[in-house]
Amino acid sequence: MSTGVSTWNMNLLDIGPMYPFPGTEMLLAIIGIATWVIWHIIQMKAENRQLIEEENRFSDKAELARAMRISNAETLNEALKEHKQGS
Amino acid sequence: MDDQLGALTVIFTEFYYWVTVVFMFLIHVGFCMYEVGATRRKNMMHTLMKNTMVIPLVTVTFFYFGWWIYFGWTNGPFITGGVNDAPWATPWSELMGTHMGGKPMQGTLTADDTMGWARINGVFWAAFLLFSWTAASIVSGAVIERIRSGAFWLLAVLIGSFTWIIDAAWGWSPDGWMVQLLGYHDAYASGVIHAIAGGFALGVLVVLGPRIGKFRADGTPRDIVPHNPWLVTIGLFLIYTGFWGFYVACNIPIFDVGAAAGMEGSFFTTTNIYLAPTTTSAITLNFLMSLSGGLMMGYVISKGDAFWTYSLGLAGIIAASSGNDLYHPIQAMIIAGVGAVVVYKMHFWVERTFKIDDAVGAVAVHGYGGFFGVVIAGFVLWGYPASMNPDYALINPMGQFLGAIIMFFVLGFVPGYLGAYVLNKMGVLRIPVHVELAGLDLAEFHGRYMDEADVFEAELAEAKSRGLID
Repeated sequence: MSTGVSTWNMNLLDIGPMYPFPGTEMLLAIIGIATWVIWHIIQMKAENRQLIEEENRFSDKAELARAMRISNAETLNEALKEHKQGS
Repeated sequence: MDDQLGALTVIFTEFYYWVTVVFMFLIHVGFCMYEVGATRRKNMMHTLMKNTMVIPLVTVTFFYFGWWIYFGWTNGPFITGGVNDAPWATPWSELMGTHMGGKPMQGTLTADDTMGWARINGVFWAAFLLFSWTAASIVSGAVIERIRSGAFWLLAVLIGSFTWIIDAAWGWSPDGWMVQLLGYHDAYASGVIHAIAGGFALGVLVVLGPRIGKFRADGTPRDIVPHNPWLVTIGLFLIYTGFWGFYVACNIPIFDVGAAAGMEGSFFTTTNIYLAPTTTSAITLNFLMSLSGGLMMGYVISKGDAFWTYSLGLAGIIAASSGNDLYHPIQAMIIAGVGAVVVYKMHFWVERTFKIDDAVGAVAVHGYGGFFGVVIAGFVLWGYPASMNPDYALINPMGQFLGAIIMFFVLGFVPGYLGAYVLNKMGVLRIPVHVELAGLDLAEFHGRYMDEADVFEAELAEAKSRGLID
């Protein structure tokens, strides 16, 4: 049994496709395109969900102000200081 | 593959394009460094991931439909003819996989197809694909710090695997309708990559709007400085390096133009993408001289500002790229210098006048620089043949001007604007204001940042407990 090429002891000029399961190209293309579309759907849903959560969290004025101080800190020490003050 | 000279030509050509791909990979590395450096600290990882994921998404879609468009749509379609057959470029073609070039299995292919494309298809596809990444990556820089990743990736596919390759079919192919009817000439892609990407970015920016704080209440712009100028400049250095690969990828390394020229015998030469003769030496001279023209003028006009000097070096190359297969090196240098001035002045004029927040100057460097490059080639190369076919139009100023309009506006600005408009209407284009203010990294990687702080505290406690610090 062979999934594609079964021997190299032949006239190599006759060899065409060398990948396993030749004849399944259309099926592979459909699977590939579907995977791409599904990936975008999953990613956008996840991103939207995450942004809604973050938006809700930062709707708290104190939390947003603290987050802005941490994220604009130039050094880890500055961020740590803000982190300590908030905890 | 049964005679040594023929095999050597084929395998050299295969290897040649492979090398260009490796070089062009550095363009993407450079864009990532450049964008991350230009981003404020609070958005670095978001910026990095936004551009990194261009690689897989544009790659798979360029496999699924981009490559076929290049060969299928050279006539428009329906401007100079219908849709062409391109059975070696469909995603279900056996030639889009490992192939030794023997007898075809699929009825749509001929023995000539398999023999000609088996060893070239993959590397030629990849060379075009790296241009696709570049087109998307140019847009990526302009929109940092406020666009949602998912929205950007859809826009990246739109330009990277659809609109830019349409323009390549039209104006960057030996038989594209723009070459036939307009005499369009754009050897190293001033228009077909740079103008379209700049125009697309501008279309997106119009809908997306500026970053919070970019403009004062009176409308004057604030300078949002790069958090790491060193990373920005190293990124631009890497883009220069990758640009070498970009340039040689625009050529066919060995091609017999004798028959097309009407000669009785063969004449083997390097050609541009239109299969018209040039030399690698010519483009090496012109690449370096146009880089120099851009850098020299950039340094003077920006008063030595590193960000703009580097950017205008790139703009100089872009401004001369349309005709860098034919220009004299000093012509290339002068065109690059003038282009650099146009780019610099236009960037700040558009920013002030229309309140466009182009975070890295991408619209200016690529868009206006590319537009200028296409137009100026129409004057300097006026009357040159645009291809080997004597029935096609000659290079001329009006054809190049119309070509620049098609690249920047028709295939760049309009799809970018419409794509962003639809995403905006769906409410998925821009990061919510609270999250933008908090910082995208803090929002996305909150736990990680808090862990970092906790780990630092734990280290301090451990050091104290061991008596290593007070």
